[in-house]
Amino acid sequence: MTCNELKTYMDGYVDGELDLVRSMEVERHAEACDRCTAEIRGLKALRTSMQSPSMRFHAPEHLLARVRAGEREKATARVSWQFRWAPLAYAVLLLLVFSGSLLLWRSAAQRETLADQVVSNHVRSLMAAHLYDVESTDQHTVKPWFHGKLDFAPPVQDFAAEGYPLVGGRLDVLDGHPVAAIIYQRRQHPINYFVWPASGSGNSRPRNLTENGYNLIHWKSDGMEHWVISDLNDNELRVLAQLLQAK
Amino acid sequence: MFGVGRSNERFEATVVQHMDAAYNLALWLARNEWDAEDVVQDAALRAFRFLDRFDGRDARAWFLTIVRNSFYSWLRKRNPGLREESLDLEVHDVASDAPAPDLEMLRNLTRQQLWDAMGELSVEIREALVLREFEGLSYREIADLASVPIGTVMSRLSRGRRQLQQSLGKLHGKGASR
Repeated sequence: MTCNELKTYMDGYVDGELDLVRSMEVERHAEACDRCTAEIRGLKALRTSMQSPSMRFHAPEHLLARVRAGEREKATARVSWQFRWAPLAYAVLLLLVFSGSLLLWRSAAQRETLADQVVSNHVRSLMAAHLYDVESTDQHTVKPWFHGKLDFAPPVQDFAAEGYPLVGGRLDVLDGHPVAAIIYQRRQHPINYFVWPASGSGNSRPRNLTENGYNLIHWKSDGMEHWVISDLNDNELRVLAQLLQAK
Repeated sequence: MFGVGRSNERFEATVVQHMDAAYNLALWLARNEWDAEDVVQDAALRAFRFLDRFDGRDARAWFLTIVRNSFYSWLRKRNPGLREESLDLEVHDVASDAPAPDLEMLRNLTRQQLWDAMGELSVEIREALVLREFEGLSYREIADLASVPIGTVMSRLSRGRRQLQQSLGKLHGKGASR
């Protein structure tokens, strides 16, 4: 075996994919050839280092959450026809409760269902590249885009100076209403800001939730319902919420 | 939920179980976290949709095949004029005047150094190296996964390792500016 021939078999040899006869020929040649021995050593050293566990990346938690949320959503959609009776049964159950606690319980259940929808909308927007219908960092492009599509004018602002650039806008649905989705980005994290006219009067202070690994903040002010959701950490999301509230 | 219990289990076993491998492959291929996550998310969706086509044997290989295909779909969407790498086996012959391997550098290799050097390789070669060194797949398994002949796999690995050593030597070897 010549040095050039060895070079063609070297990878197979080191990978354990070379037949026995040729493997022995490789070894026999290497025994008498310093140069080829050095080459084989180099290849083995490279492989050993590459195979170290520290070379691999681990999936971030929020990706796992996204994947699970997507799967659950698909699974639910698949069997939803079986569970059409569920809301009815739920309503019947509610009727069995006394009126005082019934009112309190119902509003809590509504808020919980709404949070689920917000999460679903967020997850769905991240899939299939459907984050925005209008892509622009210019609020003077995004805001008028909603005109004629919604019967209210959503507040659209860009916070690029504060580190939360506007990315685009999208129409979405929550709780049966058409809502505006205004998308911001913080480093690698997309943030959906949902806003729509509130039913009922009064304001409510911001509340935090975590669902499926996402952080959510919602409040009511200026006659609008506001929800922000992202896999971004709670502290940085709160900064955006504060920017949105200060007008 | 009733009725989806079994498919949920299968999803966990095929997709969730191999999320690290999936993300690792996607990241070394796509070269940034944001895109890698998109690729994995897309692959997970497809896996769920085609779960009943999975024959129950090698879940990791099955899911990694989907991840890899999702990556190339994503790549083609971004670069519509992309052509598959041509295989000029003659052109990329081993340089006989290449310097001897820097064993010390290779033995103390950091992930950042490897990352930099891998960036100079084509996606197909990176793919072969990731599947071989990170996933420990055989030549046959890599060939099946990538739908190419075994000879192509061998060629990619061989060239990839030469190019890596050259890049590493250039970027971090003796005499190179660190």
